[in-house]
Order: sequence, then structure tokens, then C-alpha cells
Amino acid sequence: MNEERRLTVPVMARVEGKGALEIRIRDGRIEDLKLRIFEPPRLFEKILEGRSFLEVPEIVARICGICPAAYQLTSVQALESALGIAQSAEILRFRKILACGEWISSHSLHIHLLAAPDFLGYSNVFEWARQDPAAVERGFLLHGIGNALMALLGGRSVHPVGACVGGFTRYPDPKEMHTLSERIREALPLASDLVRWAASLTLPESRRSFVSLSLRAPDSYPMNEGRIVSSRGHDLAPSEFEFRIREFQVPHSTALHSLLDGEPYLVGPLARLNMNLDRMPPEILEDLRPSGLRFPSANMNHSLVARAIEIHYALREARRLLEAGAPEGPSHCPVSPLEGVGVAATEAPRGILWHRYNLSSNGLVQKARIIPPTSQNQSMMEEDLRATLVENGLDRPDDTIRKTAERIVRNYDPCISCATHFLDLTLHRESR
Amino acid sequence: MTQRIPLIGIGSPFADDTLGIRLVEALKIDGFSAGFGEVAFEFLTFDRPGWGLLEVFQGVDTAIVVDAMVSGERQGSVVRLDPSSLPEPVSSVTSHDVGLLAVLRLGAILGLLPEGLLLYGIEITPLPAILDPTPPPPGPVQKIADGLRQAIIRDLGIWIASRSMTRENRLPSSSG
Repeated sequence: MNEERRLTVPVMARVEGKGALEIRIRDGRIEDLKLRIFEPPRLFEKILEGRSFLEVPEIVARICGICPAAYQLTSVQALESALGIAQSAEILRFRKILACGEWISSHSLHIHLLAAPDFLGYSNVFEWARQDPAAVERGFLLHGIGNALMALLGGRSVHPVGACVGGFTRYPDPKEMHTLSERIREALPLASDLVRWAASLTLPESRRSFVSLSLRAPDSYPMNEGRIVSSRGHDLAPSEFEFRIREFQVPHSTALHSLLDGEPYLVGPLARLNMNLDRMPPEILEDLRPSGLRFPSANMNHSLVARAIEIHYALREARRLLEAGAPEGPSHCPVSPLEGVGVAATEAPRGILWHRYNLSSNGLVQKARIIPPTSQNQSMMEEDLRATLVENGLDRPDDTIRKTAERIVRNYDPCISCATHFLDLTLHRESR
Repeated sequence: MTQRIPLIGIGSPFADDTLGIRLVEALKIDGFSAGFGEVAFEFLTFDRPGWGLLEVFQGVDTAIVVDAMVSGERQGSVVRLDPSSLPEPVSSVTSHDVGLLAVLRLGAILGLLPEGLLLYGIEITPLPAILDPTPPPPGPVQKIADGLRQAIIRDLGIWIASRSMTRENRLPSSSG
């Protein structure tokens, strides 16, 4: 007997698009699974063609409202590479502070508004906040520090405007740097508490084999620089990356999928920590000791803990860099148009962000290619959905399956331009 | 002493969802003043501020927020909304979907909303499935801005007066 049931989680679609999951189950097995993500036709790579390289950072920052700084930082580094500019240590210092701010802001938001309620058994953050307002306020406070760091370098936290090709439009005021450093110092115990709290959560067990992909920097936890490495042994210069991955359109979704040498792979906090555990200060990892939780981890649900660890790291790193002295030298170096090709990869909060720009001799963009982290995780997300739903049992009620699927998708914190507003679940249950 | 009151327009770059931002920008350009000597507006606009809106509220006891909405009212209507009566926000799967409803609900639970929060919804037509990034025509904004201006002057006046009365009632009576 064929049975089709449709589940809908109605939401107010304020912006655009929706996410839908369609599963066909036959004889208790998943015959087909499609995660339909409808990304609006943003066409940023095309919009950039013919634009001056000077305009690129402002334009690409609009790709994402949660990680605009990552887009700006990756773009300026790629463009500087095309223009033959080797950046000063001072500019790199402040770029790292900006990146720290975005990690803190984005991770705090994700942990507290999205991930934690799932694992605590609450329907949403509002239920959790009523029961434990202090925990949610902690997230709000950390998020605020992240935003303040972004505003310090970028003028504002949403679509910051400070980063430019050559450096920054201006350096921050030393007094403001000191004030923010003090604010971070006071918040560090909270960040440590957050790691211990996250590690103490009862998280679902899951041990699947997957490829972790991240940057690896020479001597620090990766943020704005590094080679691209994987748990399969890949070790690539950013310029080699686009020749090793394959981006492709699937019929059921406008969001691109990516494969690395034919395999899905994971980017993001868990992949980063898995590949760079030796770069994370041991005193931060000490907060894992009471729980016994260990990394590298094959459990996707440990992404939440990885994010908490990265918040603590980013706070400490930002403070260290803020206290390294008042800004010295010019805030930006002179830039001139030059024909060339430039590539850069940074670690956005959600994973590797990769840009390539081809410039004409008068500095106009001839071609652009942008590979965001979320499209790289699409294939992993579908694999995870397929494997985890099977592990949990397909004979469960449709509502349970839908909630599990939403939790899985949330774990990846997809950055699909607000495209996933609800999970419209279509289940086809068939038996011979 | 002059009281700073944030007058905040929020929205997104898509179609009429820009309206909250455009209205506050128009009020700023016009030099909008409530006419109360002790009040000065701080005109702010945000593209999808999310949780960051709660930071703007820190340290203020009065704030005004203007946003586009779809509620079935006549297009262009300026409606004062009660933050405590707004619909329950739905659960999101992405941090990009932290909208005003969620922020206000969370702010209320955590006690982070200003005591005097004036919230205005401006009715727009529902956003199309495919969003056209072309800016909407500027024509209707001025007329709506006039309605918003009047509503703010009226409602802010009532709030300030009620707060003054509350403070007077709290003052100990002199005895002699």
C-alpha cells in the first residue's frame, strides 16, 4: 500500500525562498532523498564583471548579512594577490581582529538561538530563555562583543565598511581598542564557562566517516591564511583548490553542491578543529576535561562544542592583538590597477571561503568566482540527513522525522541567503 | 537634559521591505523633531539587524522602531503595534532568519526591551517569490512619512506625559 504524507512547518516567509526535504521510503529504506534549497538568483559573480576592483569588497559584503567581513577579507586578499601587493603585518593584525569579531558574533548567535535549544529539548530559544535566561544572556553578551569588534574595524557590525583593498579606510582609535580589550577580559570567564557547558551537554551519538577540510596556517589556528588541508591527506595551495573540487547543480536545488576528488566533505568549525587541534591553545581545551569529550571528532553534533571553543579562542586572540600596541603606519597602502589573477581563501565562521578574480589592466573585474562554505557542505548535509534519519529509525512518526531533519540542517548553520525558512517534508512510504 | 531617543528603521534590500529604512531616512532628511524640547531623535537604520537590535536598546528607556509588515491592512497604513501582542515567531533553521518578531520576543523574555518601545508596522504588499532588487519608486514614501510623523508625535507625547505623571506620583509628598 502506498502512503504519502505531507508535513508543513508554516512560517512567515519574510525574505525569500524555502527549504524542503523530500524522502521516498520503500520497505523501510530510503530510496531517494532530496534537500531542496531554493537560493534566489543573486548572480554576484556576474554583477562584479566590469566593476572596478575598488568596488568589490562593498559588493561582496552583501552576499551575506551574518558573515560580511569574511567576504570582504577574502576579496581584498584575493585582489591584493592579483595586484602584487604583499600586505604589512600591521594590516594583517587588524584583519585578524575583524575576523575574530565575526566568528564570535556568528558562533554566539548560532549556539544560543539555534543549536542549543535543539539539544536541550526546547522547541526554540524562547522556551529556553524562560527557563534559563542567564544562559541566553551569556550568548547575547558574547554576540555583542563580536559585533563591537566588527564595528571597531568596520564602522558597523552589519555590512562593515572599513576593509578595503590595501588595508583599512582608517585604523581604530587606541582608546576604543583598550576599552574593548577590557570588555573582552571581563568576558573571558564566560567564554570558558560556555565551553564547559557545551561539552557537558548530552549530544546524540553519531560516528560517521567524513572528510574534514580546512585551512592550516604555519603557526596559528587558521583564520585569514593557510593552505587547504583535509583528513584525506590533501595539502593544497588556495590556487589549486578550484581544480580539485567540482561544483555542480543538482536538479532539485538551486544551491550548488561540491565534491572534492569525487567525495562530499565538511567545512566549518568541526572540520577546522579536527584539522588544527594542535594549534588550539591547551588552556582552552582544558575546559573539555570534565566532560571527557575529545577531538578530533566524527560526531557532527560536536559542532556546537567546536563553535564554543572557537569563541573562546577568538576572544583571547582579539584581546592579544588589541593589546599589541596602538596602530602604526598608514592604515592602507597605495593601490594601482594591474592586469592579473588573484586567489585567496579564508575561514569564514561556517568554513572555507574562496575567491578568485581576473582583473584587466585598468583594474576592472573580468571574471569572478566565489565558493562559499555552505555550498561546499550541501552534499555533506544530504549524506548526513540520509545516514542519521536511517540511524534514528524511519518508522518514527513524520513529525519526529521532520524535527530531526531540521536539527541536522541547523547543525550546519547553512548560509543560504535566508532561503531555508521552513522544512516542508514530503514522505513517500512505499512497500512492495 | 536632552533625552536621546533612537528612531530606528529596519528592513532588507528587497522590494518594499526597504520601507522602514527609507521612511526613517526621509524623516532624518526632513529634520523631524517631535517638538518636545527635551527629546532628540537619533536616526538609525539597519539592514536585518537581528539580535544586534537588542544592543541598540541598551541604556535607553524609550525607542521607536519602524518596519514593513504584511498583516492584511490597507497598503501604506501606519499601525502602532503592541510588542506583547505580536504573533509567535516560528523556529528557524538558519541564523539568517532572526527577524524582528524573534528579537522582540527574546528581548521581552530577557528584560532587554526599553520600557517605552513604540513599534510601527507599515503595511506593504507581500514580497514576490522572486525578489527584484530594483528600488521601489520614491513617491509613496512622503505621504506615509507624514502619517508616521503624526503617529510618533501623538504616541510619544502620550508616553512622555504618562511617564512624567508616574514620576510625580512616586515623589514623596511634602509634609509640614
